[in-house]
Amino acid sequence: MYINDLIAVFASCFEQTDSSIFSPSTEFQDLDEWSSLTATILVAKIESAFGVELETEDIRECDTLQELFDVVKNYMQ
Amino acid sequence: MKLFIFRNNTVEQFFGNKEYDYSGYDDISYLPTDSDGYIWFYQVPVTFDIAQKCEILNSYKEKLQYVVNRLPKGKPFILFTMVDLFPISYSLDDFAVVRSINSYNELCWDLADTNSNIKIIELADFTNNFVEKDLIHWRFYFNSQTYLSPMIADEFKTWFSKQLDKIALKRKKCLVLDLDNTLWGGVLGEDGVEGIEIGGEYPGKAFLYWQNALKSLKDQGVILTVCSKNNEADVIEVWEKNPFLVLRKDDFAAIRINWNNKAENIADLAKELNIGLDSMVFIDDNPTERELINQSFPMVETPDFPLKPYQLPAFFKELINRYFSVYSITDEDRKKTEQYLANSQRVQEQTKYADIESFIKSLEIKIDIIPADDFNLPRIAQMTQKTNQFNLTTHRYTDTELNQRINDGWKIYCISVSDRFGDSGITGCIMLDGNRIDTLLLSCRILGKNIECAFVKTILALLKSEGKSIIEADYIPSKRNAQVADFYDKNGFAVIEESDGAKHYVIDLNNASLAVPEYYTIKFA
Repeated sequence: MYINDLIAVFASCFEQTDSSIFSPSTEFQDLDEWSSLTATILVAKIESAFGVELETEDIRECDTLQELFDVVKNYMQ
Repeated sequence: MKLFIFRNNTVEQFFGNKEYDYSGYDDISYLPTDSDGYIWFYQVPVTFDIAQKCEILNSYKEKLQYVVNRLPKGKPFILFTMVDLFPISYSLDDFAVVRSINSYNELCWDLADTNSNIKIIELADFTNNFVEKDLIHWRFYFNSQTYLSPMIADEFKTWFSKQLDKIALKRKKCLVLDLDNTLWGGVLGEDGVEGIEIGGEYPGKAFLYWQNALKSLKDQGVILTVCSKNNEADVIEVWEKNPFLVLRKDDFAAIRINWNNKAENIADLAKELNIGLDSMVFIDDNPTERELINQSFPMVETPDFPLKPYQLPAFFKELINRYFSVYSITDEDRKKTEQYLANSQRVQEQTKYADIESFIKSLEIKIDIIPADDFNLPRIAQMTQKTNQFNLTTHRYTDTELNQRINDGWKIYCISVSDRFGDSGITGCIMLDGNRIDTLLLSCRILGKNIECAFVKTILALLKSEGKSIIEADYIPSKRNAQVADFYDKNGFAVIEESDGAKHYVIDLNNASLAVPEYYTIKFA
């Protein structure tokens, strides 16, 4: 898995936010469209894509997509 | 367009927030009358107590009835039926829960029968494709009260938008069928009239079922055509002599049996039937032919043909689901093949006459002009969805939207056209918003007989007799309607504004020529 794979999955959770704005340094908790609901969609999509069952806690503790990537990668090892 | 969803669980993952607003869980206290439409999507409650489960299901029925009675009648309302995703039976002879769910679904169907704005979406049609462990993910249920698993949200969205297409009456119009090893087993040129496999034992039996299925599809208004590399005389002989065939010459609206390239033949068929290539589905057992069509005309659908004849029933079902299933089918649809056949007879007749006017005269055309009513409104809505070529503004409407427009004072008329070759049914309409023509369209199968001019002039004469003098109209260009770009110009309207190809017109009825040739028999119904 590469960070771009995660960014693609992440971007697919959004309807209104332009996917080109996402990068490893994006602080996603500050996005207008981010909500607890987006978080559950993200959890479901990460499970389908990478086979990793994240807790919503795990996501809450991340600020940037790079940090989220590290968490997912950590589970995969 | 914003729809309001009544729900008892979290369903945002399945619909998103862009086009939808949501009620609270199980909450009917807020009834927004300004939404563009409504969705009712209640799911079976999670409880392990049978009596309680039934009681809650009953309360849902009351709530649904209450909401339906109070919401504006003219707006689209989509009702999801219910499926028990997690049935628990302590004893097999206890039917209480199943009965309650059936009775809830019965209520949905009854409401749809009696309210034309209410459309049903059968949730089972989606859930049948999954097993229980994919349908419910308890982790998400407990975290966010999502009953249907968000893991299958993407599949749901695809399926749901397909259901909306069906409600909007979008479907393909025409099947283009190969013959050898497609409609029967074997090759006619090699095996002979008696030698091809149809009826009797397998594999002939599978082809027989397949032909029966296609006949039913034809009866539901899908046009069947043939495109085959064969000697036409051999095929005519087999149609006349083989006793086991179900589909024969008259079942096909048009045929191309020759040794030409199939891409040319298909383009030709589209032209003869006056339909778009994007409304055709090409069925051929030969992958090379499919590839040729696919490359020549990517808009023609070319599904893979099954390798074994016993797969034909499943293949047929898939064709229906993917291309032909639609929310409701009108009588006009069912008569399609006859109408297209009559049309090709007309085309052949036309070559006999030296000029177009004496040809039109010879047809003895009758035009009935009918105000919109409950019976023809679904057909009118369908025409706005499907007509592309002779359509001045290409505004798409649903029957519920049209009902609202009529309540707002619009005048809507449709025409039913017949001639000595047959009845084409309801094939055109005009919509008047006060002094403005909002929509004018005609189905392509009645074009070429100047019916459009007779129709418009008769309507203008009617408006004049009602005391109107200035009428406005528009032409809005689309990818497909270039043929009507100067329709209004040719009929006495004057352009008063033009931008990006769109034209706004007026006509002064007091100085307009509204005479219609007397060889049309025009009646107001």
